[in-house]
Amino acid sequence: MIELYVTHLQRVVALLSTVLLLWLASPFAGAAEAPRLAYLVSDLRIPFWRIMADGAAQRAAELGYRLEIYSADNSARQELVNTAKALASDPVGLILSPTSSSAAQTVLELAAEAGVPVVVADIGTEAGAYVSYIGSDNEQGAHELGRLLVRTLEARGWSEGGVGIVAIPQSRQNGQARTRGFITALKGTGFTPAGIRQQVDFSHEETYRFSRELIRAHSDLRAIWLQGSDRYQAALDAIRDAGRAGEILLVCFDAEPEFIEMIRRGTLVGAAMQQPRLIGERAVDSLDAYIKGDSVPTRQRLPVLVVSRDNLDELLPVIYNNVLGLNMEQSND
Amino acid sequence: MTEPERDQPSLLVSLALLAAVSVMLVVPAHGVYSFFTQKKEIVAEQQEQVESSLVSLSANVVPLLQAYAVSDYQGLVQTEMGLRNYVAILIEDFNMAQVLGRPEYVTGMIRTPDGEVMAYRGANPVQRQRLTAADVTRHTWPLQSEGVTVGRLSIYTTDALVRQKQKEIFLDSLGDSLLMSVVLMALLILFSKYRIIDPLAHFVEALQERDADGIPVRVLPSFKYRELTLLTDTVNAMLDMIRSSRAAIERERTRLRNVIDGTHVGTWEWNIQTGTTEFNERWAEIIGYGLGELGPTTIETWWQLLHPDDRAKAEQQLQRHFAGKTPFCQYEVRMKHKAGHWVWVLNRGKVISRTAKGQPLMMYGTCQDISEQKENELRLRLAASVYECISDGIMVIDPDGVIRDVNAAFCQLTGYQAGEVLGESIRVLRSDQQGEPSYHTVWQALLTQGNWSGELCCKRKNGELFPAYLKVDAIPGADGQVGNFVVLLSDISHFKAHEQQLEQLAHFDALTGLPNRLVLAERLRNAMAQARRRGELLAVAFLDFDGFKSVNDRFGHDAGDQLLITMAQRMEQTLRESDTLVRIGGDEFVVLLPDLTEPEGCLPVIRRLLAVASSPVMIEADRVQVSASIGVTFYPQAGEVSAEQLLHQADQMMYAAKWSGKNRYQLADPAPGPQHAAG
Repeated sequence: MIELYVTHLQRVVALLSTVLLLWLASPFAGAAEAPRLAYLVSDLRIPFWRIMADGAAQRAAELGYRLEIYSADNSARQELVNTAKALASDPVGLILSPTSSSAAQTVLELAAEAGVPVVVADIGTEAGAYVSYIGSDNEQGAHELGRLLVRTLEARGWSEGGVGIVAIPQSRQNGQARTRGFITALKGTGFTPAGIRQQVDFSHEETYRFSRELIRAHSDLRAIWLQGSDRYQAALDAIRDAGRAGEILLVCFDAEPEFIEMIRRGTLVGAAMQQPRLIGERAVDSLDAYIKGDSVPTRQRLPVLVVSRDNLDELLPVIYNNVLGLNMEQSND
Repeated sequence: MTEPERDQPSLLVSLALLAAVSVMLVVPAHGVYSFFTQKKEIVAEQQEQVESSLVSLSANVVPLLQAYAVSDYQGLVQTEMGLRNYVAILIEDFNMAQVLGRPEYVTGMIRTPDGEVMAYRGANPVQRQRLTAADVTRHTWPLQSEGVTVGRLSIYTTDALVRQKQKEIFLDSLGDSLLMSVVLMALLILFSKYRIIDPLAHFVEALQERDADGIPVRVLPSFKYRELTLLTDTVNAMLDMIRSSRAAIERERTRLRNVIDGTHVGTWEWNIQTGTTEFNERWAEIIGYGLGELGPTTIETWWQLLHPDDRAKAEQQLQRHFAGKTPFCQYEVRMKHKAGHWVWVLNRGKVISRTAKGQPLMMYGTCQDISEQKENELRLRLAASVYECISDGIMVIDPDGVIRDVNAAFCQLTGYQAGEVLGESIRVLRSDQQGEPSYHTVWQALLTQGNWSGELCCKRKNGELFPAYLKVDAIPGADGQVGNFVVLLSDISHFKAHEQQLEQLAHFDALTGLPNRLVLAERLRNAMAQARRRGELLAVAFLDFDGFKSVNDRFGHDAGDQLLITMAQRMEQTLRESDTLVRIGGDEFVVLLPDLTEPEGCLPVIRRLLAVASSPVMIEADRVQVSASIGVTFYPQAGEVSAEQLLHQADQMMYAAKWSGKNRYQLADPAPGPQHAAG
C-alpha cells in the first residue's frame, strides 16, 4: 500500500509537470494568461479524487484552461478557505468535488455571489445553483454487478440462497442507488438479500463483524456484497474464519488495484468500478461548453464498469486509465 | 284553555328567550375574555417561543458553526422559520467572516410581508428595511463555544403578527359566538319542546282527565329525566294515596253505616255553638217520626221531645262533659213517642272539637232505644225479689255439684250462711239415709234429662235431718250445653208429719192404737203367704168381750173406751213378738198367731188372752170386769180359703164360744173341716 501511495505521489508530480508544460505551450502563455479554472476537491490523498483531478487537468490543458487544484484534505474549513482563494483568483469556472453535499451548498452560494459557474463532480449538493452535476451511474453498476453474481452462482449449480450486503450509509444517494440496483438484479432469481448492515466507521473490524453476523445468521448465505472496495479483506477474513471459503463468494463496488489479480484468481467474483478520470474529463468539458454558451445537461451519469474474470482482459486498458489512473506500463511495474 | 291561561307566558318562549339572552350575554363576554386572554397568551407564547428558539437553535447551531456547515445551520434556521412565525432568523458567523476575510458573514431566513420565507441577503435593502421596521423586535443570543463567542443569533418578531393573530381570534370568537348562539338556541328550543314542554303537556292532559271528585283518573306519564320523573312519580304516588284514602274512607263510611244500621242506633251531630243538630233517620224512627217530619232540626227539637223529668239529668250530664269532667257523656232519658207514650233511650256522645276559647263546638253521639232493655231490667228486678223473698230454698249448682249461689230461704232452711256453702259440694246436705235415691242416680237423671224432682232427706248445718222436696232444673249455658242447675229446696217436714198422722189414722185404731181392719187385711195376707211358704200353721183368733155393752151402759162410753184401751194394752203384752193384735171395731179384736206347728200351739196364747180379758180393770174408782169369747180357725186348710173366709170362720167360732157360755174359746177343725174344741 505504501508503494501505491508513492506511486500516486509520483503521479501527482507528473501531473503537475504535465499541466505546467501544457500551460507554457498554450497560446495564452506569455502574451495573455489562460483563463483559470479551479478544482475544489475534498481530498487529493484519495486515489479516486486524484485520478479525477488528473483527468480534469489533462482535459483543461487540452482545452486551453489553467486549472488550479485545491485539496481541502477533507476539512470543511479548508474547503471554505480554498473557495475564498479560488474565487479571489477570478476563475471562469469552478469544478467542485465537495467534502460533503452540505458543504457544497455553501461553496455554491459563495460562487454564485462571485458569479462563477460551477460543475459538481461525483459528490452532489443539497442545494444551490450549478451548471451540471456529473457522477457515476451507481444503480446501473450495482444492477449489472448483481446480474453477474447471479450468473456466477447459478454457474456453480446453486439456484437459491441469500446474499448479505455490507452497505455504505443508506442516507447517501449513491448508497440508495447501489442497493436499489443490486436488489433489482436479484429479483426473479432464487437469490434474495439475506440482510444488510450499514457501515459507520468503515473500519476493518466493523466490516469483519458485519460479515460474520451475516454468515452466522444465514446458513444459506451464498455471497457477500461489499458496497465499498477498501475493506474487502475484512470480508474475505470473515468468510475464511467462518470456514466458508469457496462457499461464500464476494463482490465489491469500486476498485482497488489488487482487484485485477483477485478477479483473475476468482477470489473476487467481480467489481463495479467507477471511472473517476472520465468524470474529471467530463467536468472540464461541461464547464467549457457552458462558458462557450453551449447547452449542458444538468445531470450526467457516467457508466460504471462491471468487471469479471470474463471481461477483465478486455476492459483492462480502460480500468487502468479511467479507474485506476495508471498506465499499463506502470501496472506492469 | 281559559283566557287567563292564554295570557300567561309560555314556558317554551321563556326558555327560548332565556337561552338567547344567556347566549348573547355569555358567549360574547366569553369571546372578549378569550380575546384578551389569548392576546396575553399569544404575547407570552411568542416570547416563550423566541426564547425557546434561541436556546435550541444556539445549541444546535454552534457545532455547525464550528464545522463551517453553513448550509446545515441554514437548514435549521429554515426549519425553525417554517415552524415559527418569525420575521427573520439571522446568524452572524464569525468563523466564516474570518475564513472569507469579510467584516461579517450573516446568513439566515427572512419572511416577506406576504409570508414567503427566503434566504436573507444582507445586500438586499428591502430585507434590511424590513428588519428595521418599527413593529419589528430583535432578540439576540450570543453563540458561544467553550466560552468563545463564535457568532450571534438574532430572531426578529413583529407585533403585526400578534395583531393578526388577535384579529383571527376575535373573528373566530365572534363567529363561534354567533354560531353557538344559533345552535344553542335551536337545541334548547328543540330540547325544551320535545323533552320538557311536550311531556309537560301530556302530563297536564293526563291531569285534566278527572273523575267526579276532581281526582285525575289516568296514570301520569313518565318523563325521560329523573327530576321530572320524580315529579310524576310523586304526583302519581299522591294520587294513588288519595284514591286509596278515598277508598278507605268509603270503606270506613260503609262500615260505619253498616255498624249504625246493624246496631240500629240513631246518630246526631250537634253544633253546640249554633244549636244546629243533624239526626239520622233512625233517630227519628225511634220516636215514631220520619226525619222529614222533624226538620229543620236543632237541639231544641230534641229538647222538646225530652221527658220533663229527665231534662235536669241530661243537662247535668252534658255540663259535666262540657266541663271535661267525663270523657264522654252518657245518660238514659225518656222521649216522647209520636204515638204519645214514652220511649226510653240511651244517649251517648262526645265533644270532638272546641272553639279557640275552649268552648265545646261539635259533639257527636248516638241514641239507642232501650225500652225493651228497661222492661227486662224490671223483670229481672222482680225475679230477683222472688228469688230473695220466696220461702223455699234456692241454690244454684254447677255441673260438678258445687254450690254457686243460695238465697236467704236456703240459709234459713239449712242453718248455713251463704258464705259457708258457696263453693262447697252439694253433698254437705246429704243425709245418707237408707232407701233414698242416691246422688249418683239424681245426677244421672239431671245430666240425661236435664231435670229431676223428688224427695230427699237433707241435713242441716246442726246435723238435723229434714225431709225436703227438691226440684232441679238445668240452666242451659251460652253454648246450649248444661251450664248450671237451679235447685228448689222445700222443707216438707210438716207435710211428712201430717202424712204420717193420716197414715196412723188410716191403719190404726184411734182409741187403742192397735192396727185396724185395714192393717189386718194386709198382715193376714202376709201371714197366710208366710205360713204357706214355710209350711207352718197360722191361727186366726176372733175375740169379742162379753158384757162390754153393759159397761158402756153402766159406766159410760168413756169408761168403755178406757176399758178397751186397758184391755188392748194387756192383750198385747200377752202376745208373742210375731203375733198381731187388731181391733176391728167396737169390742171386737182379731189376733193372728203365726209360726204354729200344730193347732194346739195357739192355746197358751188363747188362754192368756182369756185370762187377761177377764181380769178386772180399775176405771177411776170403779172396778170393772168383763170376759171374752174367742173363736179360732187355722190356715192352711184342706181347701183354698181366703182371708175373709178365715175371719168369717173365726167369727163363727167366736159366736160358737159365746153361745157355749162365754169366757171361753172355740177352735175350728184345722183340716179338712173345722173341729170344735172348747176350753
